Amino acid sequence: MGVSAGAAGEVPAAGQEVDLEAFCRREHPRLVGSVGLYLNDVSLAEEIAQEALLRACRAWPRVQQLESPGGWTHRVAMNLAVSAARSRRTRQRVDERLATYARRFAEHSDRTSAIAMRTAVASLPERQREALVLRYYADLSVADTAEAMGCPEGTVKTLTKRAVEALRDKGWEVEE
Amino acid sequence: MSHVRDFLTAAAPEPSRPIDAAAVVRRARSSTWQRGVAWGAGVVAAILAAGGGWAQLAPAGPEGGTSQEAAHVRGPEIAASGARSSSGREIPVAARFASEQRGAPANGSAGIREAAPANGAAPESQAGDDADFGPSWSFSRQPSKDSEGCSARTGEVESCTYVATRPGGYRAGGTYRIVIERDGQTAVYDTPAEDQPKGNPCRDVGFILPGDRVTVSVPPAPEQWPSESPNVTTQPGRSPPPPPPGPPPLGSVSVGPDAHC
Repeated sequence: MGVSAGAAGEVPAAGQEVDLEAFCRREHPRLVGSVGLYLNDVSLAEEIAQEALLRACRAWPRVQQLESPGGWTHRVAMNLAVSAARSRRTRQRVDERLATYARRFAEHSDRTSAIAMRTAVASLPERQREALVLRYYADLSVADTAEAMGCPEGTVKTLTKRAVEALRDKGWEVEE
Repeated sequence: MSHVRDFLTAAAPEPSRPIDAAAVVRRARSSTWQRGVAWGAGVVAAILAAGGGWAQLAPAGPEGGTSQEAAHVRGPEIAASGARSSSGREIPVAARFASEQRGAPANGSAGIREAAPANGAAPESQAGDDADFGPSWSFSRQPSKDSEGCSARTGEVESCTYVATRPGGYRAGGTYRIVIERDGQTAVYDTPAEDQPKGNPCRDVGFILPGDRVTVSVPPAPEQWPSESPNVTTQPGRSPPPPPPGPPPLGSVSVGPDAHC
């Protein structure tokens, strides 16, 4: 008879709630950080992080069996972030924020502030930024980053290398 | 010279407040799949209770559970093609549910025949997609095979496939009606007469969401059906048995994640 029993496994059972809540609390700051670095928009990053965690909870029986549930959730979050960044509205918001930060940066010239650093990251080309954040902030492996971005591993290495070079060009003393 | 990892850690924003993890888990528990499964179970129970004719089916409540309303048999109605509001005004079903469809075709009626094989044989089912030939209607809701990548890009991915079989067995032709009630609004979709009583609401009428009240009905016409149900079930990966004499068997249609990506 026609009901798919498999769907029942998509819902976290009552006994899994403690694990899930701990997972959510653990991953949330990292997700906000990753998406916030990518979008340079903390409030939107928080929304996306919550949505990604919600999806992880819904698919928990499957996700928890993965090698890296956190990595899976990061992929979901970053995909959401990419989609969001591509919408015109978000793009405008990001541009406005970039302009604001750029002004603040110019005014204060405080190169150690987080805002200045985020502005530098936000000014990187989209793919470089995505690769850099996934690889070095979300701490995904090269292979996982490549899978998340849908590109070969070599491309990830190239993108991160160029991103670091671009940061250096902007005066930031960073290395891979 | 600092490592880029340290640089990013220093640059990353922090959440303005800790997440309410319990609320997230609660929300996940009360949403989509549990409700979908309970809804499907309720539908099947209701259909079985109806035993044929026009069966009005009610999904289970938002928190899942058993079927809350048994089906009741109604008299036949005149089925007509098109989508109308409850007041009779024609409404674009697919457009009305566009926000939930996320990529399903704008054409609210496309899809049933194009996916059915030319020889009329039931195609191989997808995982979790039951293709029953028996005296029942059945609905299934199933997660996509690749919800990771797909859902990440499209939001909710819900592959909802229904396979409906007339009481007494299959037959080609005839009409069936899907009524979706949501937030006080009603959308009615009647399949064209040559369509088959199975298909995919994602493609036929737009997304059916958990919590929607769905009525599927088919006019009784027992004289047109085979005298006995062929009682054939198609399992994933197996070919269906040869069809008995009479009208050609029906194909099944399902929409996987690709349709929404």
